[in-house]
Formats: sequence, structure tokens, C-alpha cells
Amino acid sequence: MVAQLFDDWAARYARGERPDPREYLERAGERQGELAGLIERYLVSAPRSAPDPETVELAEAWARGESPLVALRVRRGLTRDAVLDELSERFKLDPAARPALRERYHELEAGLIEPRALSRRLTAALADLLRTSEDAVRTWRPRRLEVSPAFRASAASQPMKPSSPGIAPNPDVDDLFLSGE
Amino acid sequence: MTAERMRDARDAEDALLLEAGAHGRLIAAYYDVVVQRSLARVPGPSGWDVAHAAIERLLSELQRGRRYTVPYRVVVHNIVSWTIKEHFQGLPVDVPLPESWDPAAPEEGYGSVELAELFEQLPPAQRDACVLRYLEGLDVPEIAARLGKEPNAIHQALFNGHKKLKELVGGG
Repeated sequence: MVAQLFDDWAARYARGERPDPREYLERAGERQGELAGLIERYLVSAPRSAPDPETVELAEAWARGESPLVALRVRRGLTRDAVLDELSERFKLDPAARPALRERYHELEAGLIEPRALSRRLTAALADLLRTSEDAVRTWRPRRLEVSPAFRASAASQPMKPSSPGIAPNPDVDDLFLSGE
Repeated sequence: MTAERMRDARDAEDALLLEAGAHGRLIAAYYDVVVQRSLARVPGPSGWDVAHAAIERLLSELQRGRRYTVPYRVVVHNIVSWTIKEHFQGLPVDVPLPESWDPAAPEEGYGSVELAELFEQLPPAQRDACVLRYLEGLDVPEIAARLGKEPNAIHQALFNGHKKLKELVGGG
């Protein structure tokens, strides 16, 4: 079974797909350590593939210190309001939740929310909206060059509140941005 | 192009990008590898954190402007291995690697054995099947047609290739 799972994962990877290794590991059950070793060995020893233009664009924006999510949004010709409209509609958010949604989305683009805190449905919606992968939404976080590691650790471990005064938190919005589920 | 030539071509391309200071492009080139390795080794949402930390470290290493005595891919895999190891040791990974760290040092043999070299140990027909499957991603019927063999023979060749890979992991 591990051989079949590895075979399928490796062939898909070689074709340029990006199969989630965790789905394969889950299917391997107790032998997931063995499968993880095979996948890792493959990744280490196979020649790398050529990156697609979008990944190059995102990586270059990120290396310059820009927000990758903003770069993706601009690339798609979307304003921030257009993204908020789409999210409001998809998740049937009350119009009263708009200020909280705007604030949270701003925080996400600015790197003030850890992508691991995002709900899966929000990650999927953003990937769809920005026409990218969920991997990209979760890994391309803005760099915080000016922030010390101690602050980062502390910020990541504490629940966030909307930073603008006068904006009330909204439970539906926070469920999307902070639940991690 | 053979796998070995493909690897050499990538190494040469990496060297040019390093020379040109094209950090974003180098990061992009290894992004998938970093993410997939991190997710394969680190369960749960922490896999994303480790991937991001490794990417941050790749960039900070590039910005140090070091010259490497090994291909850049070896440096990448060493940084990923180191970051995964530190994560499991409970150490903070969202900090640059220490200046004293040698990015060219062999790390658990990673980067020292290539997939193509591994398959070299197989008879030619089996080797070709493994290369087409694991480096080009062809389906078994496509490989059979390309090599003029029966699908069963291809399945057997892939089974042997998998065994070789497993031996390497077991001994690695």
C-alpha cells in the first residue's frame, strides 16, 4: 500500500501537480513514517522543476518585502472592496459585519494574522478568488523584517482583536479568520 | 534530457541566479520542494509554519551573500532539514540561522544521492521505466508504449525502483 501511495504521489508531483502529502500520509495509517521518508527522499534527490510565473512573481514580491496577498489581488485586478464583497456574499455575512471584515482582511494582507489561524473555508475561498493554491495562501506571509522574533512569538500566541478603535469584533468574521478550522 | 543532465542544468541555472542576486527567483525555484518536505514531515498546521520559516531562512542566507562550495540545492535541503529538526527540538525556527552554521555541511546524506544515480543501479529497461514514471510523471500505459513493453513489465520495473528507494531510506 505504501508503494502504491508513493507511486501515485511521485507521478503526480513529476507531472507538475502539487498533491498534498498529508492526504497520502493519512491513508498510509501506521506506515506514514515510511511513506514520509520516501516522499522526502524523492524531493531531496529529484531535479527541481521550473517554477511557474506566478510563483516567481509572488516570491519576488515577498523578497522585496511586499505583501504576497496584495500582489495576488493586484495581479487579478481586484480591489480590496471587491474581495470583501465576494467574501460577504459567499459566507452570507450580515452587512453590519463589514467593518470587522475589512479590518480582519487588512490584518491578513499586512501579515498581522497567522495564516494557520484561517479557517479552511476561508483559505479555499481566497484561493479560488485570487486564482491561486491554498498552499500559496498559507505559506506566502508578509515578511516582518522590523519585528523582533520575541514579538512574533508573542503575537502568534495571543488571540487578536481588531486594532482600529471603534470596530466591534464580529463572531462570524472571527470564525473565518481566527478559528483555524 | 536525462535526469542527470536535468540536475546539472538546474545547478547551472541556480549558480547564475546566485551570481545575479536573483533571490526571489531562487526562492520560487525551491518553493514547492520546501513546502512539500515540510508538510510531509511536520503534521498539522505547524507544517505551514515550518515551511514559511524555512523560506525565510533561505532568504536570510541569500542576503548574507555567502559563496557555496556545493550546489545551491544542497544548501536548500540542509536549511529545510535543519529547520524541521529544530522544530521537533522545540527551538524557535522563525529566526535566522546562526552565522556559524555551515550551509554546505552534509546533513544526513541529503543531496549526496540523486534519484538518477539510484536508478542507475537497475537494469536499463527498469531504469528507463522509473525515470519516465518518477521524473516525468507518465502513466503506465504511456511508459509501456514509449518503451515498447507490456504494462506488466512496467509495473515490475516500478516495483523494483520503489524497492531501491525504500532501501535507501532505510539506510539513510
